[in-house]
Amino acid sequence: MAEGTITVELYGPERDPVRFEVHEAVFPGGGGVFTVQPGHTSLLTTLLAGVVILRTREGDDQYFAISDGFAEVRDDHVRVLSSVFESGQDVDVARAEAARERAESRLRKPDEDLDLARAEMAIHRALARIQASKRQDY
Amino acid sequence: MPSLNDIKRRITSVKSTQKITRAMKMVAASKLRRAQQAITRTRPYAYNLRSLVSSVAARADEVDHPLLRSARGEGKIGIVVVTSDRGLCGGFNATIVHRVLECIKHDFPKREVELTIVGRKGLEALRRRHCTIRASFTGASDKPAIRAAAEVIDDIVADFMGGGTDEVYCLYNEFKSAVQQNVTLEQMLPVVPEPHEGDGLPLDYIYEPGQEAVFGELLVRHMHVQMHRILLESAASEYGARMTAMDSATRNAGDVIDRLTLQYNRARQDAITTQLIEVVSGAEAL
Repeated sequence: MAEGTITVELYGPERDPVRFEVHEAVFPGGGGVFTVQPGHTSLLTTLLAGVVILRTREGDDQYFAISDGFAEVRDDHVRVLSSVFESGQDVDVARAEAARERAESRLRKPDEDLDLARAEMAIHRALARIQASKRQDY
Repeated sequence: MPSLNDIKRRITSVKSTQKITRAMKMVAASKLRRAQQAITRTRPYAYNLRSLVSSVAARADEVDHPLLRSARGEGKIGIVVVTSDRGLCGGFNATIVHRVLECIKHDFPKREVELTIVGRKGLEALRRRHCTIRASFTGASDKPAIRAAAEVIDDIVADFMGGGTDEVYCLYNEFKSAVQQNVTLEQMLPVVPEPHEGDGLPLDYIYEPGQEAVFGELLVRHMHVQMHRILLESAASEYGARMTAMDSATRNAGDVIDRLTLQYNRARQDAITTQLIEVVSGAEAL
């Protein structure tokens, strides 16, 4: 196992940035889920709505629900820029479930001014938040 | 010399105005607190996004994106003017409007300038001054959402891509503190990468899903977020300006009330003195 730690910073609009020192982090990349460990090569990727898992050696993992965005990996430093991020502990599960219900029912009964892509995004976001709150991968 | 009743009426009227300005100050102060929080939290996100765009643009010479192509130095100039929808905020809108006219005259004297205006106040003022207005957006200045910003910027980007404008600048009030706003002129398009700090060693990223796709998306996001940031800056500045303006208005009203009260008391004293003299001289005559 690689030694050392990586620094992960999460940025989002209207939200205070957060910063963690972890030894492994999992991201929902645009080309599939990927894991970053110390010594990772430089990478710039899109992110999809999903769950970010930050693992420390002590085993107290952190789960974050994020919306679409970008991640830059460079010199054991990860910058995550996402339009929404939320810690799993802070997720209001009832609200997330309600949001999923709403988006799903909109998809079931499509009318002409339905924005398919937006409804799907809403479902992904809601699912990510629910999963993060259960500390599960998405 | 106004009569006692006239003065009294004026005092009442100034007092009720003072109540209004005081209430507006309170409202502006509480809105300012929220707006200030929004902008200070959004800045790191926006700046990091910009530095990411810059570092990619600086490293990858081969990326050829229409938003990055250098200006031709001819053709129309676009200026995005960010003002407020509502007035009573001191010189907030006036300074911007003044700067726009200055810009047209001095910064780009030989170019045709087209304005895109955010906010009702700027629209009204600049329409009166016969500027070329390409588009205008109102109703977003109170609590700017990312979608309002997207609407504005998508329109500007579409115009730029279509060759309507050669360069686009943005003129807005940058939020410094509750009592200080800086009128800032910023180039939006074409996107100019910041001179990039660090070791200067060319570092190549792996791009997922692909360089062009990532960079394209990154640029679009960057534009949206910058516009959103600008709208938030302007909103926070607006509340700051309004709070200061209403504060001094309340204080002025207090001064006016003091002066009128003095005048009122003098007039009352005069009236009493005259009456006394009349009574005394009447008694003496008997």
